[in-house]
Amino acid sequence: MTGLQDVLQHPSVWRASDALQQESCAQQTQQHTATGFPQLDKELPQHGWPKNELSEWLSPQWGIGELQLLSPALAQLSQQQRWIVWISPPWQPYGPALIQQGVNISNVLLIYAKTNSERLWAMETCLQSGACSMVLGWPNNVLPQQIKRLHLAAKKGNSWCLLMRHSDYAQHASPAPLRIMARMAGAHVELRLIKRRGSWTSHWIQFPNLLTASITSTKPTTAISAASTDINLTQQFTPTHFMPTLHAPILRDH
Amino acid sequence: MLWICIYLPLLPLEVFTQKKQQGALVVEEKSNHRRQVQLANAEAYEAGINIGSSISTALSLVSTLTIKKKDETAEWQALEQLATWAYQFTPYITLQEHTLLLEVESSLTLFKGKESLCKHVTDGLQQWGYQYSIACCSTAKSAHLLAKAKIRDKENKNLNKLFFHTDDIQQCPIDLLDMNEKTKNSLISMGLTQIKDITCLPEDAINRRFGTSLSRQLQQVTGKTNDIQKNFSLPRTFDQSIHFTEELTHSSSLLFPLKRLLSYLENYLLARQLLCNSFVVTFNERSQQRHSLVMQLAQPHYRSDYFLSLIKLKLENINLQQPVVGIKVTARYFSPMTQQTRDLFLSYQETAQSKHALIDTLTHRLGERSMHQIVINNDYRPEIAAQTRPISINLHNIAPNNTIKENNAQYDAKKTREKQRKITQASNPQQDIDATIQTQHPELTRPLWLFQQPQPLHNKKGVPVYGERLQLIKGPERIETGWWDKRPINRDYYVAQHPTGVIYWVYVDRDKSTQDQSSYTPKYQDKQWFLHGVFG
Repeated sequence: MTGLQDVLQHPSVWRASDALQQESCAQQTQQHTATGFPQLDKELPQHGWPKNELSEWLSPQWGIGELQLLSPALAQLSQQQRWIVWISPPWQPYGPALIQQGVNISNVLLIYAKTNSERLWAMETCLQSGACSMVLGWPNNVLPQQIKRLHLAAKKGNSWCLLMRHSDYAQHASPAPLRIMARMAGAHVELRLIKRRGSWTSHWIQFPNLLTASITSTKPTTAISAASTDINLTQQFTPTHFMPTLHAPILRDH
Repeated sequence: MLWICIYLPLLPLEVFTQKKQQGALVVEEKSNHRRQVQLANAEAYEAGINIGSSISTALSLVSTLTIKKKDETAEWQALEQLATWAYQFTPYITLQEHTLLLEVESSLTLFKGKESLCKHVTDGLQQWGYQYSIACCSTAKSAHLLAKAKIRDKENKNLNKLFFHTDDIQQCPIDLLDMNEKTKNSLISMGLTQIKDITCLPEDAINRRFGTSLSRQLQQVTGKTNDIQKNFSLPRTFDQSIHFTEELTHSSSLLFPLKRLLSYLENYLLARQLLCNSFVVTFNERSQQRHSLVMQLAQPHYRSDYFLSLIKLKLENINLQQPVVGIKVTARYFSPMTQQTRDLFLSYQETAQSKHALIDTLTHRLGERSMHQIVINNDYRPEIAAQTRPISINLHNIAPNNTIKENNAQYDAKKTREKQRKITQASNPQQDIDATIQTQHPELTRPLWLFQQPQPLHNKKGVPVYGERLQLIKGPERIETGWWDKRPINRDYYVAQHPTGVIYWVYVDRDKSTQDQSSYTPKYQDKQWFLHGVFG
């Protein structure tokens, strides 16, 4: 038994129960940013967005709801006296909407770089400087070693790098510790953590589109009431509801 | 009073040799219409060239001899650079030919005694690379003469020290004093070789024979007469240049002289306790053309290594057409040096500083036009309500505006919290979840992405088509404004959903001619639809 203990003491051995320890550690050090969505917090390895790492956001197209999902984090990070840098975003992030979401736009910096290498250079410089709480970059093409470099830069500068890429790249290997895949499913946005620390790929996590949800709450129309019942359905059938039926056959066997 | 004299005997030569020139070099002077050698470097000495020998003799000894005319402006510039550096020790600085005089009595407490102060001075002087002799004495004149005597009579053990008494000068040769050739010859022929020989003579007799100049100098040595010195004051603007003896063809080789110039700038800024807002680096090309780099700084700074790192970034992007023969650095705009306070508990230290430093680094590589900030305007027109504007280089100028925005954001957050508190009082857990979703994510009335240019859409029986038919789920919101300037708009905005689920912000352009204001439901059969944003 002592031999087993020795093996377990080894730092490179990972155990599922470590995840629980990590949880308490994470709570103490607060090395994360709350996402604002309980269902997502639950799935993320640090129970929130990372603070000093690189993450990949893979999406088939832009505008499907990525900013709505990120805006609580943006609002929180923008309270720091550091920049939130957007490098070559596809469209202009609209100020009044960001303010509505609680983002302090005086800390928002937009950089439009002409070439891909300039974009990557700007990303790395911003991350390393320590003057940015978050860097969102839309590069055309990134090689795995460049992702690794950006990740190290993010660690050094204590900022969160979010690499926005097309979901086709999900098939490619990447050294990013967290990879988030987004897709549109009906009226919902769905996220899936295809790579995360200490766990397998997650299932698709569903988010009601905030806009349509808010419209239904104020003025229900026929088109959206169907969508809102969908939301209610999914929330009613939480795993706890299934538990009794799952246990029942086992009891009968006895 | 305590004077430190820094005497630079080889300055006329050293203003040329600092540029790393090899080989024999002499500086010529003209006396009695004859060109003769004033100073020669070590190589020239070894070849047998002596001070005072004629230029033709020197040339016959070394055919490859480099002859330079005495460059007094360069000498003064070098002295001023030294004076700027010496400003850290005292504000009372006097420049004389080849000489720097510092009055340091009032700085002794700061530097913890004269020994420690002199150590600071000598340590600093080593880095300048000049040959120097240094002497401290209670009067300026005696310090000056003793420093000269030290270099002339190196073997004299009496002079091999730093701190002197005015009596020490008595042992020095008489020709240290300023006098013409005739006086000197007659004094020596009279057997008066040391200064003590004439101090014991009656003053009247000396005045009668040699004029008052000699006795005045002696009085200045002992401090009996006032020796009024003209104080050196720092110029209002910084303007220094370096001319190369050779042409430079690589931009990397420009960095070394630049580094030196920038260290002068740093000394200057430290001496005046200022920070630099912007400076100009000018490269003089061979064909008299000038290439200027304007360095704008987001955060005023004084460190030369910081300036150099920015110039390096800029040099990567510029192309100099011809070899460079000189560099000039000018700085005119300064702001006072103030202390920054830092937060003790923040994990990301020094960010207030580096936030501006980052802007500097990025602008000098990517250009000023590629950095934007969002500016909010009080206007109903969506494209004018928020605009992206190239970042202002002097960020501190727009600070008040920012605080207003900050307040707005804080106000919004406060409202949200209040709303949240109200709603969480409700007991139903299902309602709680709905409520948190709503309060943490305030209702969107504007899209998060806006298109720079509205994109025209097809119109199919009054409904916009973007690939497929869009479903209008909220609206219309009529915006009809801007008639007072040249950009009036008259639009009905709708929130529209694409079959894929993406939600767009679209509008229909209502032109004045076919308005049907009587009917409640607007008809858009023949109107142009535009796509203006995405609720991403």
